[in-house]
Amino acid sequence: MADLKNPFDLVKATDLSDGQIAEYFVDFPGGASLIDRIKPTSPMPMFIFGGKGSGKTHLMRYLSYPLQLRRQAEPSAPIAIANQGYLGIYFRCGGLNAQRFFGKGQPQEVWEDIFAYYMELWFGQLVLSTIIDLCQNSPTVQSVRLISDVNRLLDVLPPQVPATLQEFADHLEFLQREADVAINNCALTGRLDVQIKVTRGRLVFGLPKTLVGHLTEIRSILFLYLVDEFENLTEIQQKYINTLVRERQDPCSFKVGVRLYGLRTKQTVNAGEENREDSEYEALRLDAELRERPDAAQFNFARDLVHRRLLQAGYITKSAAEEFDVSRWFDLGESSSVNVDSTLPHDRYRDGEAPYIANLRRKLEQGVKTGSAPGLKTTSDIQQVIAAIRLPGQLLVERTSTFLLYRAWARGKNLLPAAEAISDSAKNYISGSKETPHGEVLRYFRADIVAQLLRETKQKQRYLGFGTFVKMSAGLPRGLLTVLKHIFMWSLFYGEQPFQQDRISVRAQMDGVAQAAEWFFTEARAPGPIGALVRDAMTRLGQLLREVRFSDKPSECSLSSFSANLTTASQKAIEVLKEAENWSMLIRIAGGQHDRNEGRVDEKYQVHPMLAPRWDLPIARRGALALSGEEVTAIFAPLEMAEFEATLRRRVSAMTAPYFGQSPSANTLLLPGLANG
Amino acid sequence: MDRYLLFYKKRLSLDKRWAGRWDIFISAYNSSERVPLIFQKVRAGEKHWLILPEYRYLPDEYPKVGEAHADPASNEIEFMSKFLAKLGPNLASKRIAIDITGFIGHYVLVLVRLLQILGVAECDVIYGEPVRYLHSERTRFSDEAVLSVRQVGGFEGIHTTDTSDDLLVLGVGYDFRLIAEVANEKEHARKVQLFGLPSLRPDMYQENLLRASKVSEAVGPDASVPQHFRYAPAHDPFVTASVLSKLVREHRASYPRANVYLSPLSTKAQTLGFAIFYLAECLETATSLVYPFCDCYMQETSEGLSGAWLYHLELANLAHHSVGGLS
Repeated sequence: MADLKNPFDLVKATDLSDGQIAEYFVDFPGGASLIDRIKPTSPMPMFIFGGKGSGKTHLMRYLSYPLQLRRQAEPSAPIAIANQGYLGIYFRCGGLNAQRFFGKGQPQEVWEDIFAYYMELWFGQLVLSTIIDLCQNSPTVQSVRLISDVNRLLDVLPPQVPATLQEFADHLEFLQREADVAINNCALTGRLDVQIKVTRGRLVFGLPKTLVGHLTEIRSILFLYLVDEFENLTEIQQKYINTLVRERQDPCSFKVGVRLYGLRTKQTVNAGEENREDSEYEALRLDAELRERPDAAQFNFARDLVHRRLLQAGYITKSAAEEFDVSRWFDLGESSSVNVDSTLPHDRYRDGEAPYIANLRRKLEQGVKTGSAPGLKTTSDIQQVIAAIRLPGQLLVERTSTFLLYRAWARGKNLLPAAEAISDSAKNYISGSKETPHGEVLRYFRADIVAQLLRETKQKQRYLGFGTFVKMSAGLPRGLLTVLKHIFMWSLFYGEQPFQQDRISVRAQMDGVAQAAEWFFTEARAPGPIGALVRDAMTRLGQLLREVRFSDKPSECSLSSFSANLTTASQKAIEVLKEAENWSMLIRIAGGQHDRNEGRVDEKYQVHPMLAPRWDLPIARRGALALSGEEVTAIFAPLEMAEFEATLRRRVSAMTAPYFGQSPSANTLLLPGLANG
Repeated sequence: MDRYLLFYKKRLSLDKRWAGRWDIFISAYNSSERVPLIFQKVRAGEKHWLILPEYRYLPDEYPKVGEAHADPASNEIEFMSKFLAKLGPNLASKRIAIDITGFIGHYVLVLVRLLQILGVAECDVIYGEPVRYLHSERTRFSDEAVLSVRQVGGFEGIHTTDTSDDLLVLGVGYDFRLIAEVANEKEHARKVQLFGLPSLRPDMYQENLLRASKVSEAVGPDASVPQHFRYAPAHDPFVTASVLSKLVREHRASYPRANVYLSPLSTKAQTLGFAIFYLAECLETATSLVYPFCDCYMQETSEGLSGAWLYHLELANLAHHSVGGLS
């Protein structure tokens, strides 16, 4: 059993072979396709933004020449590529080790020139290796006129003039190596002995132009530079690529893959010149693109993604793939949001009081003592309230009654008649009437009340089922695959045979989800000190949202979001918050949130659902906690921890019996029973 | 016979007076007990403390015995170059000993490289083993706030445009966050983890494994493939160099155009082994040493001195024998 292959083992596109990139690639059907959105044949450059694991690399590699070849049915490679209309030339900026082009006692302008030269050599080699492979059977590729024109692209020819494209490519490699050695030695010697032998743009644009001029098979082809990991370039280096994008020449274009935080500048090397979206380039925001599609489309996309993996790993056959329903392999433990009641430990509390009833009793006693329980004076009053609320064997309804009582209490209502009304509502609800306070509360707060019940009965929160995992990933396919990878591992560990004989158990899902959430929290963070600040801030935010969610009278339902008045938040707090967004720990909600009192539109953010299990938060987003600027500062960049603790206390105490934010002394001044609303 | 194994090393007795006497002794100050203990035991004409800026010592915390050097510098090469310049012009004729115990990894690399460039034909390197690390496997050696992962000056290779078969060799130590940072930086590369075995103390290998298991996500599928594990004694730079040599040669035999990245994150003795291998075989090839540069390193990480090694480093004999790959 233990040797079952984990179909989700490979979660990074960088770990996939060309074959796997092809086999695992899925797209949305029809006109909704991602490829259509990327428009590989369009000469308009594009920046593809995306969080880590959003699928940028997979998409860009899918467009690259080796993958294009795999997709061709046409026996002639040049014709096949020409039919596709573009030639994808993929490279990772990480391979440049860009930090070499910096410092070492050299002025910045020198490095700008050296980097541009180096990139000419780099692009030139990539173009040539692709064309040499593509046109290996073409007689024209050996023509004297072609190589003669190609040689003219160099400012300085070597003594042994290249006689073939391969020799020209070898010469570029030699020049690059020469530059490498000089750049490296510069660290030790302080001298940078590089002679620039190619004018900027001559190889990047000139080489493709020369090639299509001679090679008729590809004369109408677009050379598409697929520049991945743009975030690995420094600002100066990005300016250089931005300049290429701006000064693009036919037959070339660019698709630039970059993390959400990775575009350091829109400027070019020409002073004051800046590229503008929809003018010099288009932008595709990949995770938002995936996340904002209809639920059904997201689900089907995820399902297809998983089917491909299962197919490749031999768990399903091609013919069975259409009928295969991945959702059925995940045991929901009869705990869907509709049926949760049946999984709760009714028996445990049938004779005794459930913990939340004991808790309510304690708070009522405290309230009576301090005059903070409207309408209650004696132990007998408390008994009467508890008796009205209790409904043994109906935990969910009973817990909802408790919720309603806390709500009445917070509104200052007399608790004796309130409890009686709640009792009537409970009975009506059980007998089928949904138009009751119970029905209304459960419409909005069902998931929260279930979460509270689970917590109060010492059970873990449940993030179960394929649909839940899809929602958790929120536009990051790697998130989904990582969740499934861990679940599969735990399933094996528990002796199950996932996707073969056994449905994946609840505990395997819960353990897998917890592990994936921890991975996301650890991995999705900025490097350096700011990364630590983001982690700490997210921990505080998660704590606040959790405490509010599990308070006696939570102000919002399905709380995983907050709105923020950033105009009065500190600059540091805004910086940390933006960094959390850049690293996908927070998702910015387009349109923001209207402030109810002041009509202002505040920014709105959701904690990434991959992190929800870490703080027992919901996957769904409904209510949003409105935070003032000062509260944002206390969470994201407090000068001292006490600042956050005070905010947390203030927020949670307003939702906690018996005082609901009032001081006990203030309540003792009220005459019990007169606060009947 | 493997030429790395011909280099001389010996275990130094902690109970007896050490036999050697050198013209110049260099150590890097930190508060781990073993560092000042070795400083005391070594006999030399001049004894120098390097005050590495990442330890964040204040001037009044500098050691009182020996000459302390804390020159401001923008990077490790500048720091070490300034220091070596102060030692005078005839360094090649001096008998030099270096205790690398308190060094931070990249300073070990740079010092060895600069000594070679300055024509120092041979020197002795000492490494002191701890009784235990302060918090066992949870010991942190840095603040783990990695400012950048980059190549170490003097160990930057040449590069090939084809990055599809790149290899990253991780010398695995306790600082799992640092390992993860390097693995993430070279996400696309095939990864091999080099463990210290035998470890410095019997329990340290298990501790190391526990820490390494935390980076399985960053290392990716290679983290669970036994063929992607290599072992070299944690105290032995020469065997480390030998294992690296074999590993990189194997990779280059299959992928001659691959870029190879080496990242020494384990013991200082193994770090020295990475430097030896690089200087012997990798100069001007598509091989680079990459390192996660942190804001700050811990001043004290271990207790006691359980043993010490002396390695005789014949820099002049590290003749350049390329492992291939565009050499």
